[in-house]
Amino acid sequence: MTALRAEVHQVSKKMGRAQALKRVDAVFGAGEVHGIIGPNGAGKTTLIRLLAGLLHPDQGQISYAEEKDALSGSQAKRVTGYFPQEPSLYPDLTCEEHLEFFRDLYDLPQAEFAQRSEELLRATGMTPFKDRPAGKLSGGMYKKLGLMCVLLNRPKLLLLDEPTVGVDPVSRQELWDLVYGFAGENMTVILSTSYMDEASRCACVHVLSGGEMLDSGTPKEVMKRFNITDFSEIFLNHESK
Amino acid sequence: MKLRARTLKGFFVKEIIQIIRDPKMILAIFFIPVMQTIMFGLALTSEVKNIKFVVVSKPGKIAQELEARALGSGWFTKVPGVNGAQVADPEGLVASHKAEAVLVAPPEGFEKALERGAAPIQLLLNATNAQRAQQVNGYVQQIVAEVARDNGYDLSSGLIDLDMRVLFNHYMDTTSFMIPALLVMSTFIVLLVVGGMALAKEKETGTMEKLIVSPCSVEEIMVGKTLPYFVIGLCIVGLILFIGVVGFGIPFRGNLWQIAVNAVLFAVSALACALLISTVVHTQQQAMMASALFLMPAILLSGVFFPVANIPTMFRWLCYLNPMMYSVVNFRSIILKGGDAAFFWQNCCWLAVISVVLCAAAYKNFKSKLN
Repeated sequence: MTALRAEVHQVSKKMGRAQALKRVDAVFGAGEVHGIIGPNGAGKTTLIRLLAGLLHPDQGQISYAEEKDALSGSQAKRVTGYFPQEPSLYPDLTCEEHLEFFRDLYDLPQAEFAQRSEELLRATGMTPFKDRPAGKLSGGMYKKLGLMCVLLNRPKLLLLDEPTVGVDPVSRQELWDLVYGFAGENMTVILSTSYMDEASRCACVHVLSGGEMLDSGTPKEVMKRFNITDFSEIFLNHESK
Repeated sequence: MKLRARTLKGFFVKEIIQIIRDPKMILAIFFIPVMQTIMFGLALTSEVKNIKFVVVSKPGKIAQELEARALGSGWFTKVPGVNGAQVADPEGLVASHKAEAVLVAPPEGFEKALERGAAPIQLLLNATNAQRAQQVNGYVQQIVAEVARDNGYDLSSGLIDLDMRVLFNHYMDTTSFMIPALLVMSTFIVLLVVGGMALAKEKETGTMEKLIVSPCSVEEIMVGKTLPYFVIGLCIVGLILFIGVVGFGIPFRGNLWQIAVNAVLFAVSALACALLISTVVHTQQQAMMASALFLMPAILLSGVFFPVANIPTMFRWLCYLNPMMYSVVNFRSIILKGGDAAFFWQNCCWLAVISVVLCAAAYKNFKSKLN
C-alpha cells in the first residue's frame, strides 16, 4: 500500500459566473503533506473538490498515480478521503454508529474495523465520547469524528478543506498532530487553509490567488522566491500590484 | 450497477436509528396513517345520517308508524320540541334549519291520502346539499312505501316503487369503502413526505457529499436510502389493514398475497416519486413543499374521493398516469369483492409499468445530479 500522487494539468473551472480556477498546474507528490494556501475566494475549495472527483474540470486534466501506475478517476475515488469544509455528520448518530455506518460503506472486514476504530479512537482521544451523538460534540471533537470517518478507510489520498476553521488553538494543534500522525508513506495529504501560520507546517505549499497558481515548493523556497518572511505578505503584495 | 448487501444493511441500520431518534419522524410515520384511518373510519362519512325529520299530520296510526319507522332506521332523528300535530308552517321548519325533511300529510290525514291512490303527500327537503337531499328523498319514499304496504294500501299507481339493490357494500358503508383507499393514500403521503425529506436532509446537511465521495455506488445510495422507507411503507399498509379489519370490522374477502403484490408495486412507485422530487430540491423545506404540491392533485385524481368515471376525459388521462389510482381500485376490489384475478393483474401490470418508468426516470435524474 503506497500513497497516491496527484497531478493537476492546466485545469480551468467556472463556478457560476466566476472563473474559479485559471489554467492551474500543480503536482502533489506522494506521501507528503501539501498545503494549498490562499485568501478566501482564491479557488482552494474548487481545487480540492476537483481532486475529490466532486467536480469535473472545464478544461485540463487531473491524473492520479500509485507509484508508476496511473489510476482512473473512479479507481482513485475508492482510495481518496475527502473532508469537506462544512460539517457533515448525522447529528443523531453516535460516534460509534458513525464508524459502523462507514464500515459498511467501505465494506471493511469486522476484524480490521475493530482494530482500526480502536486505533483512531485512541489517537483522537475520543474513546470516552464514543456513545455521544455527533450533534452534542464540541466543534473540535466534531471535526475529529469527521476525520475518523474519513481515515477509517485508510485513504491513500486525504483531502482536507480548511479543516481547522472555527476550531480553538488546542484542538487545531491536535488535528495537525493527527494529520501528521497518519500521513507518510501510505498517505498523501492535501489540505487547504487560509491561516498563513499553518502553511509553514506543510512539506510543500501551493500558493493560490484569484484562481491562479502563483508558486509551489517548500515553504522556505517559496518565502525565498517572494523575498518575504511571512506568507501573508504574498497576498498583501499580490493584491496591491 | 453495483449493489452490496453490506452497504444496504449499513444504510438500513442508519436510517432506522435516525427515525427512532427523531420523534417528528415517528409521529409522521405512524400518526398520519392511524389518525387518517380513525378519522375516515369514524368521523368522515358520506353516508347521509342524522336527518332531522318531522311528520306533520293530525294524529293517526300511519303518521305514528311513519315516524317510528323513520327513527328506527337510524338515518333520522327527532326534532326536539316540535310536535307534528301542531305545526302550522312546515316550510318554516325547513327554512329555519330546525328540520331537514318534513313530511306533510293532507288536512284529512295520511289515511285519506293513501286511500285515494294518488297520494298528495308533500315532502319538504332542505336541498342546499343536493346530493344529500336526493338520498333523503330516497329514504323517505322507501319508508312511506313500506308503511303503506304494511297497512294494506295499494300504491301501484301512486308513489314510485323503489327497488334499489346495492352490491358489495350493502349498507353503503363508507368505512368499508374508504379504508382500502386509505391504505394507498396514507402510505403514499408518508412515503413521499418522509422519504423525500430523508433524501433532502442528506443534501441539506452536506452528508450527501460524503456518500458520493465514499466508495459506494449511485445505486447503493439510491436503494440504501429508500429501502428502509419501503419496509416502513409495507408496515403502514399492514397497520391500516389491521385497524380496518379488527377495529372497524370491514370485510376482507380477498387474499393477503394480492394485497402484498399491490403494496410492493405501489410503494416502489411512491418512493420513485420521492426520489424524483429529491433530485430537484435542495432542502427539507423545499421537499415538503414539493410533495404537498404533488400530493393534492395526485389524491384528487386517484379516485379516493371522486370516482374516476366522473372525471372529464380531458383530465382522466392524468388519472391513468397516477399510480395511486390503480392501487385504490385494486385494494377496493381485493378487500370488498375478493379480487377478481383478471382485474387484479390488469391493474398490477399498469402499476408495474408506471413504477418502472418512474424508477428509470428517478435513477437517471439521481445519477446525473450526483455526478
